[in-house]
Amino acid sequence: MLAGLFLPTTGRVTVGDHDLTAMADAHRCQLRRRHVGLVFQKLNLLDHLTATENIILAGGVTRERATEALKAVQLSGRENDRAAWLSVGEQQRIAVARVLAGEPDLLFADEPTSSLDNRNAQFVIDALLKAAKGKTLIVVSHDQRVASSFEHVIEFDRWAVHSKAKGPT
Amino acid sequence: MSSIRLAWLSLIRRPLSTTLALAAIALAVGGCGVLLRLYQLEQNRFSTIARGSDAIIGAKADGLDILLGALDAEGKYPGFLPYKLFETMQARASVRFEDGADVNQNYLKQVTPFLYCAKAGRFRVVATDSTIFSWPNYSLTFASGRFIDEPDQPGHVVLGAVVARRMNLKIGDTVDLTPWVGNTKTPVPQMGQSFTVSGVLNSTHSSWDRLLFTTIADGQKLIANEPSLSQHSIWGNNVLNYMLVDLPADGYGPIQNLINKRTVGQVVFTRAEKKHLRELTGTGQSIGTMISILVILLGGLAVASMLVARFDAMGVQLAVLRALGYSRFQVALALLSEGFLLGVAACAIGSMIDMATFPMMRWVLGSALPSPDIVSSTIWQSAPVWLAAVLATTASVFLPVIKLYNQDIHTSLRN
Repeated sequence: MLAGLFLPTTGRVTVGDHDLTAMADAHRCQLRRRHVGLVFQKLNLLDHLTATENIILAGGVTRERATEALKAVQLSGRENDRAAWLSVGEQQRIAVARVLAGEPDLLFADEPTSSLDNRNAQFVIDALLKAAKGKTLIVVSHDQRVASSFEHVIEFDRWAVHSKAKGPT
Repeated sequence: MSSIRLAWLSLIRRPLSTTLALAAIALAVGGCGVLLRLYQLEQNRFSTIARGSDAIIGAKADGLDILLGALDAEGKYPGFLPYKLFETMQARASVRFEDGADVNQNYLKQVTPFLYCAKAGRFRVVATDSTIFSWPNYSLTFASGRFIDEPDQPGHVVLGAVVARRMNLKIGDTVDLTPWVGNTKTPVPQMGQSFTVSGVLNSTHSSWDRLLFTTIADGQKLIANEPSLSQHSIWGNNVLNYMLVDLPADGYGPIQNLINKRTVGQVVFTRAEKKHLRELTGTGQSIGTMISILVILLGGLAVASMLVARFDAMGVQLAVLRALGYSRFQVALALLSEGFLLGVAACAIGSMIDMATFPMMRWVLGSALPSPDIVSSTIWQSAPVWLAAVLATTASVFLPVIKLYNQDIHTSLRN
């Protein structure tokens, strides 16, 4: 909803100064393309495209920037491999690299470490935190270790919502 | 990434699916192109029948055989008529028969002799006189030269336009004529004679273009050299195959009465036989047209269903693009580009299939179609099929595009 992928039946969704509910679809797309980065739970890479091509799908990303982003998630040398040929862990890192390359102001990541081992999970979280310096990063995760890396954690426990803020990591 | 680049990558990175779609559309395009061209040719099947005479007199045979043999230069070698009959008719002399009947022939406007006497390569040579070039309602015009029928200047021929073009002949050139009375499939060249080209006719887009014309005297001399002539003719070489007749309005009854009842010949009226021909072939043409339309429709529907399934399966891909910020228009453009590129590529391959198979199909259908010398068929005649294919492949994207405009991105991605 915050990314404007679907709209509430009542009320408003505001991102920065922008009221998503009042915007035309084309403007919401433009906003998403310029200012929002998404890491989906199901990754949603296009299987027939290479790692680089999946990254440059994000708005305004050059091939050089895509190569840098792949390097940042330790996938150098896999630029021309198709997404379908990569392991789920590698695909997850490409999904993260896509967000890193786009340098968005607002980052959303839905279970970005769900398919990664501890070492790679920490690596991805570090990369996301680095990319989100001075910006907003919202991560949804069931993993307490991931939650422990963030400044502000909102817990959904059945019907209860607990919010707790920490100092910066 | 641009919409066209997305479309291109989607095509080349799914080789199996793309190849299957391409092959199906290309085969449909090629097949429909061939069908369309054959249909167009079939519509012109009898457009090559030469114009000129009101009636034709030939040896007793089926009326259509006489019509097509004389005015479309096709079929087996026709039977003979005695030349005396022509001389009598030409002189418009009264004829008294043994039963006491007295027939006056002043109803004839023009009679032209017509004898197939030789072949030049695969083209037939007609022995005739100068009246064949000037019918009261229709004239054959000379591109160059003239018809020489002076007795002291034998051995000349006039060429139809196609003959001149195909054999690359002009006035003054010589051409070898091999006597032909239909006894052998391949005339024996050793019995041939060289004739000099004295004239070339303008194109008439009819069977006249495929003929060579010489004089009756030369034609009869040619067939006299044919050893088997005696097996076919009781009148020696003093014969004709046909007489082309021009009649006044009241001449039809008397000539039918004279020729059909009292001679070895049979008269057929050109207009009536053409009508008969149209009636006979009309049903076949209608069935052929219906079958062609059905095949084209079935092919089109099969291809459309394949493409709709292809584009329909792209739901998640489209949702991803939308989630990454591509507008509906950009995604729709990518889909339309993919359909268009697929259509254009299929048309290119389909046209090659068309070019490769059409000559074979034409050869197989043989005399059911007009001669290639008279009615040509170019690959561009299949252009309507290409246009329809490109439109259809592009249009097959419409359903997914409509779905795209109503797509719930969140649900599509979650599912």
